[in-house]
Amino acid sequence: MKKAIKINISGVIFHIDEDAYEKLRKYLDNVTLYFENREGGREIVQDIEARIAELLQDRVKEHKQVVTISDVEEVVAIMGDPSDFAEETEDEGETSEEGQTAAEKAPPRRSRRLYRDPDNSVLGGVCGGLGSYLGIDPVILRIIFVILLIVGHGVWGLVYLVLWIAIPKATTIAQKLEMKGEQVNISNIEKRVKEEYEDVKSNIKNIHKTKTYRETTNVVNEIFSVLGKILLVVLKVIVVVLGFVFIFAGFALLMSFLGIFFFKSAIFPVTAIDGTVFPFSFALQTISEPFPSFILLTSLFLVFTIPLVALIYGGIKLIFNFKARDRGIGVAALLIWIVSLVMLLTFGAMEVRKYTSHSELSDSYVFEELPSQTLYLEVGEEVDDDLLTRHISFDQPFRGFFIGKHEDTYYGSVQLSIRRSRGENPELSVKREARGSSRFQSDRNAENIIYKWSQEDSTLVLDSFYKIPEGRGWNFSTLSLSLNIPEGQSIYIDEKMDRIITSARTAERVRIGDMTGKRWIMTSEGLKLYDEAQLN
Amino acid sequence: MKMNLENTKAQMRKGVLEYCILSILAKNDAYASDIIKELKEAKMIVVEGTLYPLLTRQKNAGLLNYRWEESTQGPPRKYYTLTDKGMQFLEELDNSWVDLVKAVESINSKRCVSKK
Repeated sequence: MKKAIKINISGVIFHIDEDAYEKLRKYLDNVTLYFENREGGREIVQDIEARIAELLQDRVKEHKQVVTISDVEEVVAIMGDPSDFAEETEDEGETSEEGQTAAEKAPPRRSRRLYRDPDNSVLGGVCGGLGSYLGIDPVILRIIFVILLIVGHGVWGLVYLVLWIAIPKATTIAQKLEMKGEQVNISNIEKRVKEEYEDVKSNIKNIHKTKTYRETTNVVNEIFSVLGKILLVVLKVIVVVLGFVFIFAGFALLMSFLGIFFFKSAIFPVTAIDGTVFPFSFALQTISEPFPSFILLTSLFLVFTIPLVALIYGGIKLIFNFKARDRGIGVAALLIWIVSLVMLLTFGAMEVRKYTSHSELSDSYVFEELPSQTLYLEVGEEVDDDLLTRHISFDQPFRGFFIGKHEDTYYGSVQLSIRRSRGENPELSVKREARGSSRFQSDRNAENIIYKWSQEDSTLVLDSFYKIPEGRGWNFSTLSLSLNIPEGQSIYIDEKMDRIITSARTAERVRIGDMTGKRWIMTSEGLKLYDEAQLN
Repeated sequence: MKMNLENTKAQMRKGVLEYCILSILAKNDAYASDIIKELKEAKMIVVEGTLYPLLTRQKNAGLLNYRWEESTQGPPRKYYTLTDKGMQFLEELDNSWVDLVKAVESINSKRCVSKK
C-alpha cells in the first residue's frame, strides 16, 4: 500500500504516489530556482509545467490511475535536467563551455556577500553571517561580541543592533549561497535544496522523541520573538529620530558653511563677534594671492560639503529605509573628498611656504623744537568701508582691524601705541612688517607698504590706513606706529584718533574711546589728563 | 583533452536550433509538442526542456506570437505563429545558412583533397 497525493499541474488533476511527488516537486523546484530570476522566467516554468502535465496524461489510463515514480523519472528524462538545458540557454557572454573551462583553470571567484544567517543564529544571525563572510567560526565572533559588550559598556550592543537592522537576511537559496561565497549555479542550488530537505526530514523524525522539549523551546522562542519585535519597533523609532538629527545637523552645518563661504556671515550669526565682516573666500584669496585660489577654494568647498551632504543623505536613508544603488556614488564621493583633502593640504602647504620669511622695516622720526607746548594728534585720510569692494574687519577682539581691497589695491588698518620715552623729544616710529617666501621677498613686500603721515607745526597728521599698490598682494602686512612721548610733554588726542590707537600708556585705566578730544600729559606713571595733572 | 565533445556538439546545435524552430513555424503554426516531435525526429534536441527558454526568448524578441487553443485531451495549448519580423529574420538566416554550409564545405573539400 502506498499513500497517494492529489496535485494540480497546469490545471490538470493527478493522483500521484508520495515518492513520485517528492521527485517531481524537487525537479520543479530546481527548474523554478534556475529560471526565477530570468526575463520571462515565470512563463518558461509555466510552459514546462504544461508540457509535464501533457506527458503525465499520456501515462495515466483507465486501469492505471496513479502517477508512479517511474512515470516521473521518464518525464524528467524527457524534459532534461535544468543543468542540461540551462547550459544551452546561457547567452550572456559566458557560455557554459567557457564557464566550465575557466572554472577548471582557475578556482572559482568566491565573491561573498554579507547577509544575516537565519540557519545559524542566536539572535539575529549577525555573527553567523559575519562568520560566513569573514570565514571565521561564528562562535568566536559571538564570544568577542559578548566580551566587547561587557567591556564596552553596551556600545557594542548598539553596534549589533545597527548591524541587525542594516544587514539583510539571507532568505532565498541563492542568497545563502552568496553568503557562503559559493557560486550560484544549478548544481549548488540542488545540493543545497537536498540538504535542507534532509534537515526537515530528520527534524520530523525527531519530533516524536522530544515533543516536550520542542514545546518548551517553542514557548521560549515565542517569547523571544515577541520581545524581539518590540525591540525592533523601539529601534526603528530610535533610527528615525537619529535620521532626523542627522538631517537637521547636516542641513544646519551646510547652511552655515555656505553662508560663510558665499556671503558675509553664517546663517546663524554668533553675537560675540557681531559687527565682524568675514567673507571666507575673500580671506583665502587675500592670503593666497597671486596664486589662483580657485583650486584651493574648490577643494576647501568639497572637503566641507561632501561629508555634510553625506550626513543628510544618510539621515534620509535611515528614515525612509530605502535601498539605492549608491555604492558607486559613495565611492566616487569618497575619492573626490580624499583628492580635495590632498589638494587642500598640498596647496595649503605651498601657501604656507610663501610666507616663511618675515621682515620688519622700522623708521624713526624725532620732532625737535615744536612751536607749541602741546603736540596735536589728528587723523588724516580715512578709507570708507563702502569704497572697498571686499573687506574683512573685526570689531572685537581686534578692535578696528581691517583689510580691504579696492580695485587691485589693498588697504589695511594701522595700529598706534602711545608710550612713555626717556628721550628729550617726541618720536614717531613707523614699523612695516610683511612676510614672503624668502628674505629678499619679504623685504620687498615690506617695502611695498605705503604709509602717509605729516607734521605741520605742532600737528601730527596720521592716516588711518596703509596701502599696498596694485597687484602686490597682502602678504600678511602690518603697519604699527609707536609714538614715544617724553615725560612732561603734553598731547592733544583728536576725536577720531580712537580708530588707530590700540594701546596707550596711561596712569589709570582709561578706555581708548574716552581718551579722545582731551589734552594729556606724560608723567612718570603714564598719561594723565592735563588739567588734573596741573591741579596736583 | 579538456574540450568536451558533448559540449561542442551542444554549442553547434544551439545556434542552429533557433533557426530550426523558425523554419518549422514557417510551414505551419504549431504548439510546443509538435515542434518537439519534429525536432526529436530530426535529432536536433535531446531533452525537451531546451525548447522552452528559446521559445520564450524568441517571443520576447518579437519573432513569434502565440494564441491559446482549447484541447480535447488536457490543458489549453499555446499555438505559436511566426510574425512578420520573424519571417524576415528567417529569410536572413536562410541566406546565412547557405553561406555557412558553402564555407564549411569548401574548407572540408580541401581537407579531403589533401587527404587523398
